[in-house]
Amino acid sequence: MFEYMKLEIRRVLRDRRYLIFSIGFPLGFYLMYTRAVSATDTVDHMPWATFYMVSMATFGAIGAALQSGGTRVATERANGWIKQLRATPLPPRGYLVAKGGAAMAVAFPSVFLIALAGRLFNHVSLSAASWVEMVGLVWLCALPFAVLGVLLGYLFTVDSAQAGTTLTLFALAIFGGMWWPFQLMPRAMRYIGEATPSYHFANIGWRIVSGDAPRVSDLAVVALYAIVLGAITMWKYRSDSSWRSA
Amino acid sequence: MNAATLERTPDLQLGSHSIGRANAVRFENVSMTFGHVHALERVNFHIKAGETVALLGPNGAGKSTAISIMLGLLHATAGVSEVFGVDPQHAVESGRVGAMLQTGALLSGVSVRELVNFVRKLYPKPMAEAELFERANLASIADRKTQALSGGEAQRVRFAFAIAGNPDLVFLDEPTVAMDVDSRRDFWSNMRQFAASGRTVLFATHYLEEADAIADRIIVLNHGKIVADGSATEIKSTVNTRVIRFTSPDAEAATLQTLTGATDVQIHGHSVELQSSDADQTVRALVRSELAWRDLEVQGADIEDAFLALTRD
Repeated sequence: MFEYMKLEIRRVLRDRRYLIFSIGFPLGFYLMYTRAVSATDTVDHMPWATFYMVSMATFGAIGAALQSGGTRVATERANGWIKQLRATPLPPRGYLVAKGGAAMAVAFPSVFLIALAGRLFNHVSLSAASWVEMVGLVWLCALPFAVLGVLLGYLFTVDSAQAGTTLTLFALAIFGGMWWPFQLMPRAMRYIGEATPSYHFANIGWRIVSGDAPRVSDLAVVALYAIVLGAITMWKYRSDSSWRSA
Repeated sequence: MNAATLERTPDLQLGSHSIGRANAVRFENVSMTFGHVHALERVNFHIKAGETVALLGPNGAGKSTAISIMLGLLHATAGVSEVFGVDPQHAVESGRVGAMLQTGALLSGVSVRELVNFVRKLYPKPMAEAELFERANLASIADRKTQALSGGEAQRVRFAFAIAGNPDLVFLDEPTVAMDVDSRRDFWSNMRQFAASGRTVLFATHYLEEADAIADRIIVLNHGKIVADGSATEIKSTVNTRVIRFTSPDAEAATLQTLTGATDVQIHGHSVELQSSDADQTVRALVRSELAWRDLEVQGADIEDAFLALTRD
């Protein structure tokens, strides 16, 4: 299982799409928009460069987590790879564990590199403890998205998985307030946003960088999403028989 | 092995395969139904450890279904299927079984070496890397990315998957389908070396000459049923079709067709080829007929005739 996870991580890191969507875009947006918007602007008393660092770190983490599942899982169900794996001693759950684990692993560079850019280029200053907490906790809280990535591979077919994954990513980012601040969104969008795991995910980060402790409710929503999505994924995985006829 | 299992033999059980060494595979009255389609109907066979068996049959005969059941990928609708005395899925999990499936893309974005080594590590007692690369002939493609392989090269990688775990039993489903003549010959030579080390091999094929040349034993499947089970020689002898050849300047197909026992007539110029299900009677009828003929020759069936006779609808 661990070997499979290592192989999956290597595959994702070599994928140009991963580099573009999960590191290139968020890093590019971060550096661009912190120059376009005046550095003295604040959101919720946070400097824009600090606020938007968390926005892009969480956006990148979600992107990485979804990209490493989605299309790959849909493809491997259809092209016979899962069938081939089932003819080896790898335990059936090994596939899910490897995919989910790899998604978590590749989400880390997104969070870490944006934080690094914030420190080096945008002079974001946080205490050492806050840096560790921000990077560490934000990374851990990417778990529901790692699970969701795998689930998307079961919800979509090979042909629709790429579009499905990208649209899901954009929807989560927009309603979660990552592309533009939640506070500036129309009321209706905020209602939808509060139901998404992405808003609560990002809010954990925003609270940490503004010096507050993360809200228990945010952590609970993220955990609940991880559990519910995990259960649905297990169920889809067990009931899926498309790989048999691949 | 008990008496009850010996009695439940297929319609045409040849040889004495049910006696002796331990069973690698046991299929007792195995049926598999997909909706209204009967992919397998009460199929019975035992495969002894160390045997090389060909599962021969036309497309859609049920070969892949049988292999999927032996690998635990499908569960039989009825009957008992065991591999090394346990449920097939357990046998696969224990690492004693290897498989080369008919379809099955290779994972993209990794090199052959990375992928094959990953598969090796899934098994408790894998084959050493050097031995595996040698046996599967991978040295020249080890550092290539999997998506850049030709069909035949990809088949070599799949063969490596099948033997990576040093398994006691290997299933190969139509292993030479994407191969040209040279790779096919190399493949069987690798496979024979592997089988010679005491492993049990079961391969599905619709190439008669492969079954004839490689297997100790051939199980012929047609429409989900076993129609013959025995050595190539035994299978040939089950078919009483004989070929009668002679030269005649004025032979007519319509007349020859009426000769006792004649099943097929082919005329090329002056040479006539008659297929007969009862050569003795056909020759007698030919002698009595008014036809002028010479150079009479009677030949036994080859494996292809036997196969066609067994799988004729």
